[in-house]
Amino acid sequence: MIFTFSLVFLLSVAALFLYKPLHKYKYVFYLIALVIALALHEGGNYITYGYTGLSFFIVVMYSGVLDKGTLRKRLFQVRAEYAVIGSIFIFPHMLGYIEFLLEEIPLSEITLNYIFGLLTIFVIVPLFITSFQFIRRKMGYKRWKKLHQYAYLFYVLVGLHLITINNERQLFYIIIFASYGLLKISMLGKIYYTKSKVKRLELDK
Amino acid sequence: MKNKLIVLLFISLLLGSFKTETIEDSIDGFAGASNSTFEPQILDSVSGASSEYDDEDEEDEEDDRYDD
Repeated sequence: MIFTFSLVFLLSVAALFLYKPLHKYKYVFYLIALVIALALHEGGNYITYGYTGLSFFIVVMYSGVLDKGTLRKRLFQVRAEYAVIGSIFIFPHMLGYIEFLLEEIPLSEITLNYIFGLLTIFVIVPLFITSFQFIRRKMGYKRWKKLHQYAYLFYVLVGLHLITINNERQLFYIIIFASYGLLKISMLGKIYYTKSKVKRLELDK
Repeated sequence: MKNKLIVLLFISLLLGSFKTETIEDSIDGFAGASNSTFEPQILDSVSGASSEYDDEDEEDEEDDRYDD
């Protein structure tokens, strides 16, 4: 987890100071990520284990629960880019394990973490394709927004996938995803409370 | 306030991970080496590979028994 959390900090700092080039030259960064992912798609490393993609997704996930301020603003400017790069890095992990599952494991012995992992693929593919700006424009904002609500399902599935692996990193995963869940619920609660308060005030008038 | 808490959470998680895994293991992870942090044991157990000792050794032991 040293690599995962170090990368989370590195990406947050990069977003804070390099948000402009990260956004402007996003296709260059996508290409670099793709080249790295293709070069390291075999064997056991931080990409094939899925840790690199996970770091990107943690940053994207937590940027949504931050308080208003510079950090949130900067992270929101590169959020889509980080999501795309994270997906590029997670594909070798997914494809590698699909191959492993098909070749090595009988259907009856597939464990829960693999099932959650497989379900994640069905969610991430449409989210990844529609993350590109030209597709987003074609879709229209409302439809795009509706589809991207499934990002929360993706986070839940990733969390369950990691927690059910049941290894020595389980506690870290529980803390990351439970904290995010609590922060998101409290945020939604606040929004709901503010909205209902405004409605009540309008009715009183 | 919330932002500070989140930063604190991640600093704690990073420090916690330094306690649970060695920095050498993390460096090895770049090269794809198997070690106590990134060992393929889970995969082996699922795919039914033997980890205690080789199948060949087992066969040899059986052969020895018959030789007696």
